[in-house]
Amino acid sequence: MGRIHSARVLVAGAGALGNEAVKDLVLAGFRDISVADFDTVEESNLCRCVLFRERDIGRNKAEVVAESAGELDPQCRVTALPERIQSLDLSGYDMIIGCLDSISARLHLNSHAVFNRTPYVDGATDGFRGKVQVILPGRPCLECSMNRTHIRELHRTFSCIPGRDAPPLILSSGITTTAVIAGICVREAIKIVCGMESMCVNGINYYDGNLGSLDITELEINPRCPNHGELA
Amino acid sequence: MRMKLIIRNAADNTEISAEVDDSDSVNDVLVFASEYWKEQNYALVMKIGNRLISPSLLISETGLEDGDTVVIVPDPQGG
Repeated sequence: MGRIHSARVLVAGAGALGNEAVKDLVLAGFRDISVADFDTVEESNLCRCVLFRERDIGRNKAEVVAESAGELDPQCRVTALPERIQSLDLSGYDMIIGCLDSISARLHLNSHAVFNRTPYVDGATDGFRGKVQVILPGRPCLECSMNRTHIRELHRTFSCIPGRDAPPLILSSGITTTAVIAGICVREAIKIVCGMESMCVNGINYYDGNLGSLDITELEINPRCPNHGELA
Repeated sequence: MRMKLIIRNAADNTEISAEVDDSDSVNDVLVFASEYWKEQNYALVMKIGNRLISPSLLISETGLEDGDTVVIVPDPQGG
């Protein structure tokens, strides 16, 4: 447990996925967690964010998560970073867990992780679907798989809350997907701090809650990826 | 050279047959598929079997053959 206790972990994003990931990290024994998010809690967040309460509406998400998670284990230090991801000092962390809702923020962390050889576990959800990718030195990064459909959505925010007109089935499924994806992210984080990187998910772990399937899509380093190719 | 690909959409399991040129890129096919299925609000990736097909490759570089089935998969970005 010593390695888990002492690891410095940054959780980027304190939405539904960030809430679940921080909760899992604390319960798994991590004791030095920083959580970053510039956004504030809204009423619509309450039904899918385990660490938010009604009284927190209007407060910064990272500060609320830090406060609530600290109550789960008083020996755990959870530091709030109420800033945009692009403004953060990302140095000094043993690992980053991405719980973001935009491609541009993901790419920012991804580039930092590749160039600084910092392990980066990226989680993402959408209704019944989710995915996890572990970026380690010498492995493909997020950008290796991205294409023009990603570029088209580069600056869009993909809320963890489906639109108000979404079917109730989709609305209710969100938190179950979030729990699965956050659990996988933290499981991979445990492997990394325990020196079991070779056991980490290699490729992209796609979860499809419609089918109940969890499979790994093989991915190779893209020689034209700006982080890996001739331009790197 | 032109070839026929079966493109299946994993989101609804529907499929179409599309004629592509081997000078087209995987990116071109992905954009075509997203427009066909009106998935313009989502990012997509393309797979064959359990292997992701690198988007920057030309069809001629992918190893795909006439009649192959590729699958487009919504790529979640929410959190």
